[in-house]
Amino acid sequence: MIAVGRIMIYLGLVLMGIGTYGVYRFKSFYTRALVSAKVDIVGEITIILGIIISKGLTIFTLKLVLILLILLVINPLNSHMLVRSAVNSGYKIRKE
Amino acid sequence: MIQVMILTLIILSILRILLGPTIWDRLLGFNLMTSKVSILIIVLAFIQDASYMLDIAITYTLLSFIGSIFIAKYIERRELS
Repeated sequence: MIAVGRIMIYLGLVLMGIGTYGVYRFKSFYTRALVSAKVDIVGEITIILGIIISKGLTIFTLKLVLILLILLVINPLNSHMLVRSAVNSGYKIRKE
Repeated sequence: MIQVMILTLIILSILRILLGPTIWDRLLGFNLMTSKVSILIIVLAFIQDASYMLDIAITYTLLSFIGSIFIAKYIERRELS
């Protein structure tokens, strides 16, 4: 069980690294927001699930489930508000 | 080992804040950085087996959400390039 948790934690680290690389790879703002919104939350979910699997069922795990629910609500809302603010302010799409 | 890798990702996100061309790019880097910092606090709590650190992670996540939402509402419809 601990080995499976370790593997999931490192997999989540790799996914978060891909998300951070994609922020530098793309040239326009909206593609950057897309990459950071999708890949980053996948990495966070994978890391928290790996910690939950390797810890078992304790009060620690219940707090982690609460943090996971908060992150699942907050992170798409955050990127939605960011892109909505850019659209309403008239941000022009640059040619790649 | 895990802390060092997350710390490298945090430094890369701070670099995005420093060299973002527009203010929305800087806000995107801020968003990335705060989520990675909360993951770092969770991993530290997992390694030291300290359950009280998770409360700090919850508080940090909610405060970063409030800050990011209000900055995004404040710069809306403004001509800041």
